[in-house]
Amino acid sequence: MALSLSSTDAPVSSGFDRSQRLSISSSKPPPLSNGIKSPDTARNGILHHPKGLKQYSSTLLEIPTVQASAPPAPNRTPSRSPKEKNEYNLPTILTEGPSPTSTFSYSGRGTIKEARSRRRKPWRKLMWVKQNYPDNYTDATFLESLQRNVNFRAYDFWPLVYDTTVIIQHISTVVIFVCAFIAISVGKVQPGYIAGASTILTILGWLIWDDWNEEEQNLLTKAQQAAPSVSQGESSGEERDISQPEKQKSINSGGGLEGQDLVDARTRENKSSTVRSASLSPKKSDRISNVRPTIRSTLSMTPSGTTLDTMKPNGNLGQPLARSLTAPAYSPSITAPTRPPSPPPPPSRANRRLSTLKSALLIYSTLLGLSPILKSLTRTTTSDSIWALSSWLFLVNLLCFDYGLSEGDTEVKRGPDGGVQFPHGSLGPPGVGNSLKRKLPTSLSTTTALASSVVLASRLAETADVFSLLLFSIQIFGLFPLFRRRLRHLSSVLHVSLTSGLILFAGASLHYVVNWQWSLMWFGMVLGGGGGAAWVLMGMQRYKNEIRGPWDPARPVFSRRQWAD
Amino acid sequence: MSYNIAMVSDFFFPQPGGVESHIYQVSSKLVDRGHKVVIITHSYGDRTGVRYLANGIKVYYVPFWVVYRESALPTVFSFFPILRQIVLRERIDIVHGHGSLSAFCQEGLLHAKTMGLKTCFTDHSLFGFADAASILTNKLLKFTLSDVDHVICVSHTCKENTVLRAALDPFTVSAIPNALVSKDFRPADSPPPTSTITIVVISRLFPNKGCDLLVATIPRICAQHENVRFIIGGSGPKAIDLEQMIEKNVLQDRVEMLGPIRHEDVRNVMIRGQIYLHASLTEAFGTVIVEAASCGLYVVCTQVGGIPEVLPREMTVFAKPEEDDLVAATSRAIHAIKSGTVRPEMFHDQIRQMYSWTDVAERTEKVYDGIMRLRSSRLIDRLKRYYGCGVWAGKLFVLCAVIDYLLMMFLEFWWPRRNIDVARDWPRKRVVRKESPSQTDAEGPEERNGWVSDIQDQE
Repeated sequence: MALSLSSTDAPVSSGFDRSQRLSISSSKPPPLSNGIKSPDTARNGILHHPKGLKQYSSTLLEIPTVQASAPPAPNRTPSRSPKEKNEYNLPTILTEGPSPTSTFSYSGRGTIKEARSRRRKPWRKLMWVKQNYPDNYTDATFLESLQRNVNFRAYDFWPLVYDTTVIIQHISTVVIFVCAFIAISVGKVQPGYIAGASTILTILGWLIWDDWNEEEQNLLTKAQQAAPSVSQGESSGEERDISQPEKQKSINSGGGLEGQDLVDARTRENKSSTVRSASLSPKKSDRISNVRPTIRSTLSMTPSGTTLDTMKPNGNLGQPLARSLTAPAYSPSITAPTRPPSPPPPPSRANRRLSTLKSALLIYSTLLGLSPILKSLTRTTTSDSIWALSSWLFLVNLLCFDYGLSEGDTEVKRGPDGGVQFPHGSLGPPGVGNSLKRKLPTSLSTTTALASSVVLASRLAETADVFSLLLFSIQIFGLFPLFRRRLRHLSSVLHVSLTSGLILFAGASLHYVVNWQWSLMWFGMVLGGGGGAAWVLMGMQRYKNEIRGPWDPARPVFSRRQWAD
Repeated sequence: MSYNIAMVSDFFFPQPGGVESHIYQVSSKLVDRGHKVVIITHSYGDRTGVRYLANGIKVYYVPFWVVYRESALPTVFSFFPILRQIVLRERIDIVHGHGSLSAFCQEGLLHAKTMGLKTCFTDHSLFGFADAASILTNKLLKFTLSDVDHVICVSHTCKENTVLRAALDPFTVSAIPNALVSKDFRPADSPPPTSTITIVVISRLFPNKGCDLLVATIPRICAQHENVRFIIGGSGPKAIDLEQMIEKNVLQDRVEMLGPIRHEDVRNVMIRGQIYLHASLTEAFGTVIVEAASCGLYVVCTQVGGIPEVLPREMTVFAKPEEDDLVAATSRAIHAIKSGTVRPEMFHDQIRQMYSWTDVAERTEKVYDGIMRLRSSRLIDRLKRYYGCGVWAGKLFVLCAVIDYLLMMFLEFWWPRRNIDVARDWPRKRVVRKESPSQTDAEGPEERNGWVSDIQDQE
C-alpha cells in the first residue's frame, strides 16, 4: 500500500538519502498506550524500526504480513532501475523535498527550501490552520491518544469458579431429572418415592420461601412506619407475643442482640441438603454482620445435616433444628392462626398460604387427570425420536435458562456502601416492592424443560410413573430455580453448599442408575467446566486488546439524574 | 492533465447530509479545475437513470435494492456489470468512494481495482471498535482498503481512526477537511441585540448527538441566566425528550423547537442567535460548527472526536462532555458575548480564509496526481495483500477477489469493450492549474454553489 515517490529523473542516491533522513526524523516511536504491560510489547505495539523503515508487524494494526515482510509492492514503485526498486522499500509518500522534476509535490505549501530547513514550525494537529506539511504527513504524535485495555480487570480464579456454580447447578438438576426418569423406567426406584421425596422437599422449600417473604413484608412495614408502634402483637399465638417485642428490641438496641433474632431454618431442597439462615434484623449493617457468623455456627452445630441420608430420618421435618428461642420464625404448624392486623399487610399470610395451597391442589389434580392421557401420547412414535427430541429440548433449556446475573444483582451493585450480600429489601420502599413480585425465570427454558419431561414421561408404562415424573419435573424445573436464585442472593455460603450437594447427588444418582463410569465423567465434567473454563478464560486474558481513543463516542456525565426513568 | 473521476457512494442527493454535499461540492470544484466527474449512486425512489447537475456533473442513479438507511444491500458482485458499463462508457481513470457504511462504495472500490483502475476512498465518520456492527464494518473496510491507492480523512482524528480500523499505512492516508460555501453562511447584516442571548442548536436529534446532555443542561442554563433563549432545530428520536424537558420545566416561552430544517434554511436560523451550542458525543469533523462560526456565532462545543481540530480557540468554548462543564462553558460564552470580549461577526472572514471547497478540491487533486503515478498492481500482489487480512477472512477475501476477476473475464467475453459506446463528454472547462494555491474561495461570478437550488432548476 505504498505510494512511492517516482523520482525517475532524480539521482538515485540523493533521493534515497533524503528519504531515509526524513523517515528517521519523523519516526520517533509514538508513546503507546498505558494498558497492560504485556511481555511482548514488541508484538503488540507499533514497531518503528530504527532504520526508519516503517514496518507494522503488529497485532494491533494487523498489517498483512505479506505487506510487512516482503518489500511492499515493488511493482508499484514506478522506478525504472532495478537498483532503485530495492532501495525504495519505504512505504512512504515522500512528499517534501522531492526532486525538482517530481510532480508529487502534494499540498506542501511553500517552497521546497522552506520545507527542508529546520526552521519551520512544528506540526500541529489542527485542520483550520494551513500548515507547511503535506496532507499525509504523519507526525510523531500520531496515535498518541490511543489507549489500550483501559478498564482491564484481571480475573481471579475462585470468583470465576464461583460464577460457574449457577450453571453447574442447573446442569445438575437436569442430570438428576434424567436419572430419575431412567430409574423409573428401568424400575430401579418406585415412582412414589421420587415424587414423595421431591414433594416433601418442595413443601419445605416453600415454607422457607414464605418465611423470606414474611421477612420482607416486615422490613417493608418497618421501613414505612418511621414511628415504632410497640403496642402490637398482643394476643394470638405465643410466638407472636415473643417475637414482636423482640424485634422491636433489636431495632432499638441496634444489633446488640446479635444473633438472637435469627431464623435458622433447616431444610433440604430437592435431594440435597442445605442449611439456611436468614436474619431478621431490620438494619442493613446489622444484617450483613449477622448473617455470616450465624451461618457458620449453624453449620458447625449440625455438621451431619449436610448429607441427604442423615437428614431423612428427622422426624420433625417441618421444625427447624437450630433456632434461637426468640426467633420470630413460624413453625408451620402453629402459624395458621390469624395474626393481628398489624399495619397494612396487603394479603395476609394465611391468605397467601391458602391461595398457594389452592393452586398446588389444582396443579396436582390436573396432573392426575392428565397422566393417563399423556401416557399414551407418543405411543406411535419410536423411542429414538423421543430421545433425540428430549435431548434437544434439554439443550435449549440449558442454553436459554436465565442464569440471572440480571435480576437482583443490579440492585446489589447499586448498594451505596458496598453491601455485597445484601440483595433485596430494606433498601427502601421501591426495592422491597420490587422484590416481592420478582421476575420469573425466562419462560422459554421452563417450557422446553416441561415439554421434554412430557415426551419422556409418555415413554413410561404406568400412569403412576407418568404422574410421578411430571410432578417431579414441575417441582424441579418450575419451582426449584426460583428458590435457587433467591438463595444465591441471600447467602453465598448456602449457595455453594447447595451447589456441591447437587453435584454430589447428581454424581451419586448417575452411579446408582447407570454406572460408575458415567458418574466419573460427570465429576470430570464439573471440574473441567468449572475450574478448567475459568483457567482458560484467565489464560485468554493475555490476548485482550481493547482500543480506545478520541474517536469513541464520549460517555456523557450527568450530575443529577433528573430525567432518569 | 485532467482525469475522469467517478464518485461512488450510496449517499447522494436527494438525501440531505454531510457526505452528500461533500461529494457534490468537491465534484463541482473538480469540474471547475478541468476534470470530468461522474457520480454513481443508487436510485432514490423514482429517481433512476442518468441526470445532470449544475456544472455538467453527470449522476447515475443505479436501480438497487436499499436495505437500511439508504444503504444498498451489500452483495459482493452484483454491482460489477453496471459499474463496468459506466466506467467504460465514461472512460473513468479514478474511482473515488465515499463513506465506509456505503456498500456501493466498497463494491465499487473492489471492482475498480479488478479492472485495473486507480482508487481513492474518503472516510467521513468515526467508528469504535467494540460493538458488532463496527467490527463487521471494520473487517469489510480492511478488505476493500487493503488494496486502495489512497485514503482521505476529514480530520486527523478520523485519520488515526481509519488507520487503526483498516490497518493502513498512515502515509497512504491524507487528512483533508470538509469545507463550506462561505457565501451561504454570511453573518446577519445587523447582529441581534445582546440584551437577550439566543442560543442555537441545530443537529439531528439522535442519542449520539448528545441530546441527553442538552436535556440536562438547558434547564440549568435557563435557571442561571435571565435573558437566555434557545432555538432548537432538527428532528429525530430524541425530540420527544426535549419536548418533555420543556414541559417539565415550563420553558415554552424560552425554548423554541423548529423541527426539521432544510440545509438552505440553516443560515436563517443561525443568524437569529449569538451562541451555537454543539453537544455531540462523537464527530469526525463537525461541519455545522464551522457553518455556525461563519454565520457569526460564538461556538460552545464538546471536545470530542475531531472537533478540537476544526476551529481556533478564539471562536470556541470547549467543554468536556459533562453536564456541569457544559453549563459552565455556556455561561462563560454568555458572559463573553455580553461583555463584548468576543467579536463573532468577525469570524466570517476568518472562516472564509480557512475553509473553501476550492482548496479541498485542489488538495484532492494532488492526491489524484499521486495515485495516477502509481503502477497498478498485478492480480497476484492484490491477492497477497488480501490474504494477509486475517486467518480466515484473508482466504475468504482472496476467494472474492478471484471470483471478481473471473467475473470480469466473463463480462469481457459477454459484453466486449468494443461494443460499449463511449459517452460524449460535457464540454470541459479550461484547465486552470496554478501551482500556487488560491487563497480563498473566490466568490467570483462563475461561482456555483447551492447545489440544492441548482437541482431544483433542473427538475
